Amino acid sequence: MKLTTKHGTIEATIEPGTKAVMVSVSGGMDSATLLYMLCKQIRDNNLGIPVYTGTASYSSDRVATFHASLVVKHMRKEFPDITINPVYWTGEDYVGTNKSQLIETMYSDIRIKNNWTQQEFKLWWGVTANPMDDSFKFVEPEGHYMVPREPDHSPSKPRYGKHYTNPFALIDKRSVVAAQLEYGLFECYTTITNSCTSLTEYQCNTCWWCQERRWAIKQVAPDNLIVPVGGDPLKYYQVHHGIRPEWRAGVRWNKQAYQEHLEMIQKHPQEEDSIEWAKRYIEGQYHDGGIEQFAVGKGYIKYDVIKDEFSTNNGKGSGSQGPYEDLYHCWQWFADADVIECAKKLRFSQVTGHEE
Amino acid sequence: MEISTKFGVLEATIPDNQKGVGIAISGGMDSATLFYMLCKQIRDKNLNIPIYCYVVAYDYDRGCLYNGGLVIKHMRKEFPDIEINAQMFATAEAIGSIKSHFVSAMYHQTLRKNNWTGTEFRLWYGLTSNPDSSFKFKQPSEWFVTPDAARTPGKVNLTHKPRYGIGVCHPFVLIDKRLIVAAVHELDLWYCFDVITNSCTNIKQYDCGTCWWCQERQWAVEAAIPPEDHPPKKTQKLIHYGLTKGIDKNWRDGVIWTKDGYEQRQKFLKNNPKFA
Repeated sequence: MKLTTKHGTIEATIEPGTKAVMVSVSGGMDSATLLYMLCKQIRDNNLGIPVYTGTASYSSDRVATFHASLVVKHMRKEFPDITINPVYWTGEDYVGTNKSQLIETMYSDIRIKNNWTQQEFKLWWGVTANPMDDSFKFVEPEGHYMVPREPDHSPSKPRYGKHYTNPFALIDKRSVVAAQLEYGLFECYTTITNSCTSLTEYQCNTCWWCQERRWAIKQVAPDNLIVPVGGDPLKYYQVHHGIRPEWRAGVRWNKQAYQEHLEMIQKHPQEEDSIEWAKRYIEGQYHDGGIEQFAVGKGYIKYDVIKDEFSTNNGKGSGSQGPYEDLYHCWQWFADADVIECAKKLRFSQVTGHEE
Repeated sequence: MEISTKFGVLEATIPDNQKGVGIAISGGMDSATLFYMLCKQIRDKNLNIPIYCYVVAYDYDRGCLYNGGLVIKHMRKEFPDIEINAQMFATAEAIGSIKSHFVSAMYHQTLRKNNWTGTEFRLWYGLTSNPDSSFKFKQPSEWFVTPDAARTPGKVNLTHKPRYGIGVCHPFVLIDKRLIVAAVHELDLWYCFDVITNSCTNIKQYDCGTCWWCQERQWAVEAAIPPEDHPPKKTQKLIHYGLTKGIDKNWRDGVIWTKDGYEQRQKFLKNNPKFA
């Protein structure tokens, strides 16, 4: 898969005979872009292979798990037809440059368990080259920061090696940002990924990695898409670009992608489309959320706190049913689709603070 | 299980006939302590039931997957004989006070999948009450997550947060954090929990030291921990304890970071090689 942008050509291609791929997902935008490109190929070429992700979080990189989880979660929503298996490692110690060995251990473990050769199953890294021209002006921050990569790391990072693959090793971050804009990923990735390496802050905006990210975005993205420093990307895109909460399910946050997403989940229902999920969610809202009445289809389920009992009305003119001791006795009166719809509406308003 | 401390008794007891235990893990010291007490009982009483941990992270609480992950990892090493399942939920949305709804949804998933009832499988929270008047809060300059007024001492509504309810337990809801910290020290968990747990709610920094939750923890530590075990402010605790207490790297596999704790784990694995 190849994309030519004005900042260079970004390319990552799954070779024939591949049985599965593993991506080292750091929670940053480079590996997230690589993960998208691999998933896209798996779908478009009907490869039907699983994806593994590996993430290591340690004392100097505490939010890697959070951002990597968001990447995996949104990618699973975007590609419900692909099996994505995440593996996480967490340590209280400083692991520094040994981090890659931890990911490699996860990779070897999966490869050996599945009896795959190194040709059939490779570990993909989204590592890019340092900024390739002098347009990047680094301002030395106060205090410690994680130093950048070796200036020429390409010999040790083959683009397509025997078992490790570094397809972005010869391009800089501007190509990655350009690819995100082209693929419609920019708003999502600006929100859910993070590059900061500060030891004390989540997003310092001053370390080398924050500056590199800011530089690449400024060089490539249109001004109106750039979130002001210190701004909340989620709110910014919602207010200034009309990105609706329901569009934020996958990684492409626009109306067209959302409609494609709806078509896709009809073909590949997810757990949230199941009646089991819906019943459990509503029961959870009653038990722990304190909600005592649920609109289900044209009817309702109601809890009487004084009598400690439930009653239902399915809206079909047959009057009320009940009383029942527990909520799960009420389901029999409702169509599964109405129960699922009820749970989805509840969840939507819970997550976004909006009525659908 | 009861632990006596100079501030009172810390108690969390698994009722009879439980088929599993669910616990909300926040990455803080309270839930980690509860988690340890539940595991200890499962082993000591040969209950042979699984534990399900639920962790929820969102934009204003990004570090909880890290600290929650560390707590679960170390507890698995301390109790290799107990089946500890972990489920995590992460979202970029500001879910704030409805965080517990997501924990609850995961709990109900486990309940339903296993066909258990709310009396056979409960969701445990490590919530404590707010401090008494000996806690003097200094208003920080930055935004912070305010404490829950419903946890004010003497005003805790046990109908909403029952100590032992159907489906849900809050065994620590009537005690404050000093008891937790004192019990942690008593159980030899202090070095580990001080390093791997975090209470900070600052949205910019990992460990601000100024938000209400950081101040509450500091207040409890000063009251309950001997001064020689207080790490100086702004030190890296792992390095500090390693240097001043001689904590060997190998000792850090479980949650009891002492030579004795390490040797007991080694002995357990030797006697139970199937868990090694």
